[in-house]
Amino acid sequence: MAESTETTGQTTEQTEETRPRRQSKLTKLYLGTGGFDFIRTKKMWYAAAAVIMLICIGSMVFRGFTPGIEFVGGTEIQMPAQGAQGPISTTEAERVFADAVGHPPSATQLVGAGNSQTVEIQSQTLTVGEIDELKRALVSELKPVGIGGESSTDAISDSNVSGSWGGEITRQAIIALAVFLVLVTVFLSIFFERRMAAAALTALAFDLTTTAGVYSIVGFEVTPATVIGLLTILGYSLYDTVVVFDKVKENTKGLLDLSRQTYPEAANLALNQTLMRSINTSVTSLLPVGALLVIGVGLLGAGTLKDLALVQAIGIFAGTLSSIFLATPVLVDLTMRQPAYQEQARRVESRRALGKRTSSQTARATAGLSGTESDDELDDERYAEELRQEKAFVAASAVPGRNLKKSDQRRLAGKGKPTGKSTGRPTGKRRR
Amino acid sequence: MAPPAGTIRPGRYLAVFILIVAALYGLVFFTGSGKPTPRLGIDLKGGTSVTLTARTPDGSEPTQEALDQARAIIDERVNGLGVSGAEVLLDGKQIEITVPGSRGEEAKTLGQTAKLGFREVIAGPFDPAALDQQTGQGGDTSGKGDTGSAKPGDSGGPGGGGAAGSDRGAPAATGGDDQYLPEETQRKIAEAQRIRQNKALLSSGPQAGKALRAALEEIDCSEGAQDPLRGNDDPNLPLVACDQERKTTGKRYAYLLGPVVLSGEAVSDASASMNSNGVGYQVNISFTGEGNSKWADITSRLAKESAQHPGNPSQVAFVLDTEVVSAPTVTTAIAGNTRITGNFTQAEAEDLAQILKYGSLPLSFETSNASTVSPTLGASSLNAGLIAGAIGFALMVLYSLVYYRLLGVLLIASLGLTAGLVFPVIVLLGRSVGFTLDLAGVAGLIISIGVTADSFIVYFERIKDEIRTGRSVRSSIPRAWVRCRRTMLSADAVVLLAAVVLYILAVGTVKGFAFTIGLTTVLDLVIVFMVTHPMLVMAGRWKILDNRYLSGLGMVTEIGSSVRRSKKRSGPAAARGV
Repeated sequence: MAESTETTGQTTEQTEETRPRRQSKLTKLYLGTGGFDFIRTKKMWYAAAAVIMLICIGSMVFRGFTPGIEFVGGTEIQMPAQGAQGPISTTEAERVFADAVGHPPSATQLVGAGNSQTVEIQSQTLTVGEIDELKRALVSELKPVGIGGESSTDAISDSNVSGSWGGEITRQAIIALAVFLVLVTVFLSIFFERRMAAAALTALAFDLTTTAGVYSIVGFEVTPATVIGLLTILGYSLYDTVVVFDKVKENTKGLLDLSRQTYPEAANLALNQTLMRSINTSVTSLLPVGALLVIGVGLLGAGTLKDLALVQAIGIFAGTLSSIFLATPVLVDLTMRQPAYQEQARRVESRRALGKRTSSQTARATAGLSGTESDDELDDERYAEELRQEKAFVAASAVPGRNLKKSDQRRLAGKGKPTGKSTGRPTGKRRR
Repeated sequence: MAPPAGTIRPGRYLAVFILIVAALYGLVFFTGSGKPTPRLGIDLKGGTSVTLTARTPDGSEPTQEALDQARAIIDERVNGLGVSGAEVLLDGKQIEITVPGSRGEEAKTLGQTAKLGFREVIAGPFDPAALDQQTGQGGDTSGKGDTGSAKPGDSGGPGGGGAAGSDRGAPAATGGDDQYLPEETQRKIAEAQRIRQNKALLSSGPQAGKALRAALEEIDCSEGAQDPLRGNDDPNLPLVACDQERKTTGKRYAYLLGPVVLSGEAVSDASASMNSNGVGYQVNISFTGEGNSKWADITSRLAKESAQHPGNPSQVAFVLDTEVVSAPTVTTAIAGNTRITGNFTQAEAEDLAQILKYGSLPLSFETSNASTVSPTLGASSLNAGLIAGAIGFALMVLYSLVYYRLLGVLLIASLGLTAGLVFPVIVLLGRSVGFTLDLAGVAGLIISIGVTADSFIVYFERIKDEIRTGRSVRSSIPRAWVRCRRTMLSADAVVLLAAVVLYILAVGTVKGFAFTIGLTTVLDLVIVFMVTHPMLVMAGRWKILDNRYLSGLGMVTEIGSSVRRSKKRSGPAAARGV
């Protein structure tokens, strides 16, 4: 718990000379002993986040988005680019389209690669009759070859979208967003703290703004799939933040009763300890998303795969950044507004000053050899308590499914060993 | 502080897991069709899907009853197509029609059929584009015929039944602006209603002419024009409405119509057949009992009027969502089955019959999305999804092997088992609750590879934390487990929450995305609890994990041992404190 991790930090410092070699920054990052100070430099991160968000909001307001066909309405025709008489060019397709419908399409392009290469034609909304006529014209003149090897209208895909469809999806998405935010705030407030919920939502706001901003700045097409993808980012972004906060919570448990570490220090330590995990999970999340993106664009050109993967990729990236640089600093700021934590930080300072004066040869605050008597007594008490809890923990961990295994529980109870319940610690391991 | 003898029985967990998996695969292979294939969505196997959004006159939420009724009617129509595997689902305000295979084109017009009403033609047709010549004469009608034979008011024939469905498609597709600008549209509707449904239109005297003139100025009968009153007209008021584009002139004309005298629900059946004593096709209508008597009243009254003004026979208009589909003249009182004759082609007659028969939906629908995916495109989408999944998985295998080494093997095994668990669940869900795996769902599955791995990484990193404090690998595992369990549960809970909220509230095909993400999140927890942890506990007993090069715990082990050494030096008290 709190003291185990803390002792680590200090013990490793102390045993620096016993180490075989000095560590590079990268090694420290890997080991989680990096001592990167995210909290002290928070003003920088805030400023950066503010600038990024301003740029994003500015772009969204002044530049807007590139709406997909679902938002403006229209018809899209897709057919294999391989015709019975050789590859079909976009100009040919345009000509047939204009002949059949009476006006030229608004856009024609070749997308994808290999066997999956398709000609994509977009135009204003066509009637069902017109689409039918167009399909027949395309087949008779260009003979696109479908999956069965023969050319028929079955090889041609069409999609007629009303301009309100995207709006309808967006409207529902906004309702979903509101509901999710309420639920997740309740969830975080119950299982963590209200301050953590607030900090997590700040990070979330950053993720959503930057992801939407990137779409606006780069001009990626926004489709309903993008909107839904954006919403699932919420889950991932919070996933990252929750993992960091869980560690912060663990590191700062009973912090107020001790005077060895301030809240910002404990939070920073938690950040360092989870840093490698944050990076790791981001990489592992991005690997499949990247594969999806490359294949989606490379083979299919555009569509659901690309839309979902792109928005996820941007969102995961933003989510990682915000959970490291934004969520925890905000949490620290919110927490340090409380007098109790300020008071504790002052105690830590004064004690450290004292410690330096009285015993300069050892900087170990943990040994309890120096400092004010009352503090030490308090610390020792906490130690003893934590120790008991540790024991209980190990006992409990030895039987993870103890609600499944009644026999084990009885046996342990018979031995008179507490299984962790007596500590009042949330075990959180009830399984369904 | 050595933990008490490990009492977790990993073998038991694994055995239970294997039993569950075996049971699932047993269900897959020995129940239902026995084929281990998930139900694929239209976008993966090809077919037609149509999404219809209900519209109400005042923009209020349609009642559940009306939606259910509409769904039932559309379902009946889809069944009428005779395509197996077709489905009609109600999802909030949306009705989704899916028709597998290549015979789904017809489904696109099924749902477009909207409210039908019979209105008396008071005056018309007018050409709104040429207001000056408005003479209010009923066209050169030459209703020749037997009982109830009727000919559309224009010598050019009805606007072409073939275009009946399609013409409706166009306004439908652009008709959704009210989602964006509800106020603007509300205003437009109110304005159109005030002018084009003015009570004064029916009065006698000068204000009727004035009102008609204003209405003709207001109405836009140009090609593809969007009628704000579509589906929003008041049946009890007169109406100025356009007809469908006429083949002969390529123009649309306007009619002044009386209130609705008979609603489309009075039609019990309609069919198309060859005209027995003439050329072309005819449409046969039969009415319900109540409809029959009403229809008899109307036609006898109109026939009388026709007799009084032989030059200008009375017409009755079939109005479908403020558009005149057909306006035959009535020369004889009709009791019972009615035939509409005219220069119909077979397709036109069939379409008109369809509209008459099924036009009586309790709600108007807008076609939000109608798409046909060719089997070719579906196959390449599925292919792309599978390739992307394979590559994503391969990258993950590489990364975890490089980074976690032996633990990486465990990670890969867990990932593989998750996949092995997700697959039968999806197959079974497809069979039991009709879950279809669409392209978005496939994307969700691939993206979940990362999330699933996240849980393992949280666990492994936690083990590293413990080792760093000087614990042996073996003693680290239960401690790390106790501590990371909560983290994993709460983090997964957040993802699950997002997925569930999305699944319930979001609309559209990407629902599958939310579903697969939620599903894998739950199954991920099952795997972590029932497989990964027990396997780690077993692995923790192997000496090989203490090998810093193989375990993937590398330098952390080194720190751990140096911590241990220093603790020994600084005395048992400090060591115990950790």
